[in-house]
Amino acid sequence: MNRKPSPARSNGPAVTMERIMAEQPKILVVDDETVIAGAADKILRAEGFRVQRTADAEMAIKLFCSDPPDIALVDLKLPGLSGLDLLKIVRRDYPQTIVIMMTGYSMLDNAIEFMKCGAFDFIPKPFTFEELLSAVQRAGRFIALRMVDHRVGSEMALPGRYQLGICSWVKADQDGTALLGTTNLFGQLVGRIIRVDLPSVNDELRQGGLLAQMTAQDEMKHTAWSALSGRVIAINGLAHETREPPNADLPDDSWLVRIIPDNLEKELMNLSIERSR
Amino acid sequence: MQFKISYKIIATVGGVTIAIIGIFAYLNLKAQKDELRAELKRSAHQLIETVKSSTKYDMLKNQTDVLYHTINTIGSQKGIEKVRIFNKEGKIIFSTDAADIGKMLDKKEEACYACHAADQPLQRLPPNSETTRFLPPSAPVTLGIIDPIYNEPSCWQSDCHAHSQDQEVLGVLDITMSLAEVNHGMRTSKIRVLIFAIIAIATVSLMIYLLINSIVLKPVSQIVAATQHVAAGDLNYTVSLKKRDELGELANSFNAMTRQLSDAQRQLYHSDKLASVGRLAAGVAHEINNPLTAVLTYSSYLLKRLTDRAEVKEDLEVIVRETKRCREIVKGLLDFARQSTPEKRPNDINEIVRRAVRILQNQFALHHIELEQNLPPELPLVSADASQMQQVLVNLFMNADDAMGEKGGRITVTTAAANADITKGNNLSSANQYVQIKVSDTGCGIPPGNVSKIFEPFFTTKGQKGNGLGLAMVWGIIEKHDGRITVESEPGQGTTFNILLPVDDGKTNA
Repeated sequence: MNRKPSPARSNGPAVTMERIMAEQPKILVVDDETVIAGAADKILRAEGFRVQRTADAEMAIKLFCSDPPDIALVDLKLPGLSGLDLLKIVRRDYPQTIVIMMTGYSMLDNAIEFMKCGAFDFIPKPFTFEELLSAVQRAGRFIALRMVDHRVGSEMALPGRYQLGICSWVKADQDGTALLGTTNLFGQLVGRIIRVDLPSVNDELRQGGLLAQMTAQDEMKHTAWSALSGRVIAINGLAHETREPPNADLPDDSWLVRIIPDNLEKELMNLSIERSR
Repeated sequence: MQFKISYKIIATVGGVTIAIIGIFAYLNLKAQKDELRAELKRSAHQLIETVKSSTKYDMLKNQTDVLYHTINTIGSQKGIEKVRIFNKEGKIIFSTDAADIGKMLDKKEEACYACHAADQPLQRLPPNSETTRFLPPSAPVTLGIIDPIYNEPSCWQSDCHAHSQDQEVLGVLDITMSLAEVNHGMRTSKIRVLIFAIIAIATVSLMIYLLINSIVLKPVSQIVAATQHVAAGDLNYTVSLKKRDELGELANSFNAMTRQLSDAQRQLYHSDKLASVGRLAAGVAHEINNPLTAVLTYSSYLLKRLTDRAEVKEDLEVIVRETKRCREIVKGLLDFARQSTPEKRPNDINEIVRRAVRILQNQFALHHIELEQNLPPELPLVSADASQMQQVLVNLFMNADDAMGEKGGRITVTTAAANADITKGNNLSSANQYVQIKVSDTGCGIPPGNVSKIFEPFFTTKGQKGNGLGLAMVWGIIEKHDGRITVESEPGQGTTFNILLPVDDGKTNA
């Protein structure tokens, strides 16, 4: 990703993007669990989004045909076509639509697969209102950014880095350890960060599990997923601080934690060095 | 069951003893009887000669009353039943039993057989012919002996002229002797032999019983008791037989068997536990996630909206917090259940150890930990997933680090080719070769009560710091490598983890 400061950054991203967007994005919720679909529907509607919901993938495809939504919130387990099938179809036929997958924690491997197949993000169940909203907010901001620059999100990862979606990256070090961090784009989507919560030394990270939690100025907490499994042996002290303005000299995408990878070679295969977006 | 063995042996040995003593007694008695009878015959012959010679003079003088007196005197002697004289035709001329006198004898019977066996009576008895006879033949009570009195010149030249010259046989002298004394002797002998046999059999049986009891029955009943204990599930029960015989060997191998069974059971129990925790976790996660999602989304949403009512907000915060805690528990379970199958390749275990050490080097230095590596070159390659084994070693190193606290200490890591004893002691088939990896520390050690639990999922002594899955995962990885991991610990002295990994047999993909 190139280093030139994005316009969103200097002006405060949230404000700009919301101004760019003519109206709140349209969201399609696909989940056969009515209580969850209902909750997502109710909450997102209350936040001002236009929400539609359906219980299966076939119905979702019909709705796509008539009026493709901006964001699709898809559960993995669906009757008939699975959420993964739907993701692939949407990525192929409606590349403009952003897909956020919902998964159970037991589906961590699937989550990695989703990201490889082009999902924007995934939300592990059970999730809080904030976790749902933050992901949808980032998606909305991504759409806004894309309106300004259509190439956004499709750049190559930096040399030596492997990316998990557009969210986080990993770089293998010479001594067998690996560095983990979040992408510049992720930082842009979160907006002005006032706090970063990192794991502690000795914590076990999972590929697709929690890497860091970034609290934006609007108090919204954004979750970044770890691109690799392993044990944390060091954290970047500077990353704990507020990024802007006190630590402005720290690059947005500097590393957050150093880990001992559990299975570097195998897990790198799950990641990509190039974004297809 | 235990009675049957002793009874069988006693019956067999007793029977054999009876047979041997019986045959011995029979032969002995028979010899004794023959001896006695021969003796009797000899004395009978002697007697008849005595009678003949002592009566000859009286005969020649024809002094019959003196003759009869002499015979009567002889006949009254102990052991002599009667003395008879009969003529050639079988008429009893004289007998010590007066009632017999004048009677005729049946020539086929009694003493006549010697000459009258054929139709024509013999004129003269051939030399050495049998002149004695036991009567009745089946169970003799008397011995008869005859002696024909032949005509001699002195007889027919005598003054009485009782016999003419042409007579060949003048009469027959017959003595019947009683066998009462002989039979009595025999009976006494029989009784003596019988008593001896009974005592011998009883003694032999008793000896056998005592011998079997101490050599076989007692140890067997101890082993039987042990099998019952083991059958009832007490795999720690051991037989304490201090014997060097086959039963002692049986007891030893029985103990070895229960020990191995107990190890195998523990192993199996642990794998089962791991597997069922995994299954349970996956099941619970699936079932619980959706309701938990609804609770979490609605409660967190309510919390966001209700900014004005502090007391409600507080309660909602509790709901959100606790629901998140549920989520973390489920997450921990699932991370644990997620252990993947190892991708085994031929690997140099020393290289894996070095890699794990390299990763932690800085940390060790920081914590004042001295690391000793005993990694002999030219170890056989192991069949292992390098990254999983590295995970295992890092885990063990970190545990050792934790156990030693702030004052630091020493970690020793040793690799070696495992010999047959170690393999056997760990209940592994000796057909495969193993490499041993030993990680020792000088830390706080594990209390004896905790040693058996440390590999159990969710067992932790680190409080909030640990999730209790680290060593369970280590155990799972080693298990999936068909290896073994054991732990020895001395509280206050340190802990040693012992890993055995199968040597690559060339079948794994290079």
